[in-house]
Amino acid sequence: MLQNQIQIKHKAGRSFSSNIVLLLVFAAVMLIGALISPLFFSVQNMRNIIVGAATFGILASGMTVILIAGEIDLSVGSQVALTSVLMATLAPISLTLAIVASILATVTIGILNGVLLTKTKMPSFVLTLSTMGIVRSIALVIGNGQPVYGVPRSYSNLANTTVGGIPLVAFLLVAIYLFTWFFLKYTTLGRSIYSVGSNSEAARLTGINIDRITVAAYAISGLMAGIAGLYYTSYVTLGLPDGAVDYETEAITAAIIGGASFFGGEGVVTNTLLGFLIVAIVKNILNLMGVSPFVQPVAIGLLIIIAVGVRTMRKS
Amino acid sequence: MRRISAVLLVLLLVSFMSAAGFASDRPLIAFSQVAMNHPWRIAMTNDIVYWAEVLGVDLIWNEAEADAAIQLTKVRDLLLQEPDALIMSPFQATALDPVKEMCDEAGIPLVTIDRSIDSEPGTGMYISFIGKDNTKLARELGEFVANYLYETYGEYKGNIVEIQEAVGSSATIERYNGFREALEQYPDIQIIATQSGHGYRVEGTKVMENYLERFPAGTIDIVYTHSDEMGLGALQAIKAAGRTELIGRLVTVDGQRAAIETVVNGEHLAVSDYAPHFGEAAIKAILAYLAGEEVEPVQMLDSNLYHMTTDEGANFTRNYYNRMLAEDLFY
Repeated sequence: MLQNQIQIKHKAGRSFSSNIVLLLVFAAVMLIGALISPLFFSVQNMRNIIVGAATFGILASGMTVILIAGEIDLSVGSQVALTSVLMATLAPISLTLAIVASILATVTIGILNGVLLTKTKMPSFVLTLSTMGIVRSIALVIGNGQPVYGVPRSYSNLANTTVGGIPLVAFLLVAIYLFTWFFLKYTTLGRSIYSVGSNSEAARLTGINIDRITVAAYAISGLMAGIAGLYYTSYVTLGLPDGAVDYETEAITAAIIGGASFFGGEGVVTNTLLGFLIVAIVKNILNLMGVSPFVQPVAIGLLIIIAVGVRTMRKS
Repeated sequence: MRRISAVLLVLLLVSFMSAAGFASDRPLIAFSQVAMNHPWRIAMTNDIVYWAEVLGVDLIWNEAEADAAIQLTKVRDLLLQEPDALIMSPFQATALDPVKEMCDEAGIPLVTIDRSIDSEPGTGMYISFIGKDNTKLARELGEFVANYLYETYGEYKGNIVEIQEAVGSSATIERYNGFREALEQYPDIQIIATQSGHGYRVEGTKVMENYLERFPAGTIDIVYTHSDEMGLGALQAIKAAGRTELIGRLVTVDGQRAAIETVVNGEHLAVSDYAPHFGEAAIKAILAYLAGEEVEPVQMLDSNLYHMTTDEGANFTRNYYNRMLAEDLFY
């Protein structure tokens, strides 16, 4: 018990200093933005950054939960595409039906991911690589490989709606991150995810039902993919069965820059939020500077190496 | 602390990799490219960069990783810089339609190239759509094939196998229909097989291998592929199978240098050009608009047909090929 407390304290100390590094990187990125272009700090640009990257932000919160559980979910990009197709197909019948059906679909996919994982014990990378393809196929079949029209104008306008000058989706992001933060920190289930991710054997010995925790983590990932898909549909104004490709890597990038570990048990969702904002801002700055699209991934690559490298160097 | 300064230093270096800041009096034109994942797209961008230089305008551009949502975001990044006009090659007509509204609000004229958006060109700030007519070029190619078969056999007869572009894209549908429109009047010219090669070279090879097994020598007269990449792939399959009777019997659409070269050396029969050369027309339309002149809301650029079957055709094709070599053009 004492040992445990010491360990937890040690971890808290480390995450505190990673926080500072992350905040410094964030500040540095903002500073560079301000130096590079007078447009950077304009209200319009700030809005553009949030509105453009929100889908990744929502996915990243779910991905953080999965990474803390020591797993990965590669199927979330396909789930976003499926949501957009379901929305566009069902919205002409009823918007409420479309939203409910989409969320039910992605949560079900999440649960299936979790159940298959715990039953087969396959690596989650391999399992979700398979479901990524399967879910993508379902989206393509429903949409017949074509864009699906039918999202009502009132719904597609939501992505561009502002309240008091702040995009609606910014409030959604805050709500999602508050929810995930609260869930991970203050609920038994949330805390159990940390235990399972850091040492599943120890967690099992303390009486935690590991399988249930894993399924729950994937259900949350599905829920977030569904919400991200709802926003994505509003943003692109139609169902795109071949859309949202590689979005899972965007979510993983934000989470690992924010400090989530691939080995489980580590990750703070507020840091993921910072990680997500840093990536979005860097991309925005590169666009404002007109940096060649061929070179842009270099900046994101360096960012990951710096953010993760500083942490792993400290650990060793 | 030393590490943190290292972090800052690297970030600063990255930020100075490209010096920003335009301070010229020349018009600033923004270009939103949907993707840079295909030689055709790269050539489209290069062409616009080239004509921006020639016509004396400043250019900013970005690309959208073949993703509708990312293109919307990146168009916003471009519009924020208050360009004098926006050229966009949209990912998809409906998804990118909001750009018209953004341009209306910002008072920035919009020209779309290659594909249009849902809004009507010529309304609001959407001043022009500049495209190429796939149906027309496929029809012309079909007529050319019919005439070639007549010249060869003394009558309008022959068997054609077809390899289609990506299923369901507008280009596929138009290249499919236009070609058939031209052949309708010749009942003895038959398209005996059609299958998708998805636009890729490897797929073109695979589909062609399949055809070669199904149809023995002497039963295919013409191979029609919807794109050069697949045409070059099909040529590989033909060579590998030793089906020399089909060398010089391939017709394709696109017009990359590698394909034009095969026309010149006799391996392809003809290439109909769908080269992504929209830059001149797009920038000229914008300059005309900025000068207060009328602009055609829809402009369909002509396609050339490259072949060696007539002296005129051979000269035209050879000259074009030499120019491509001299200027190192991919398209």
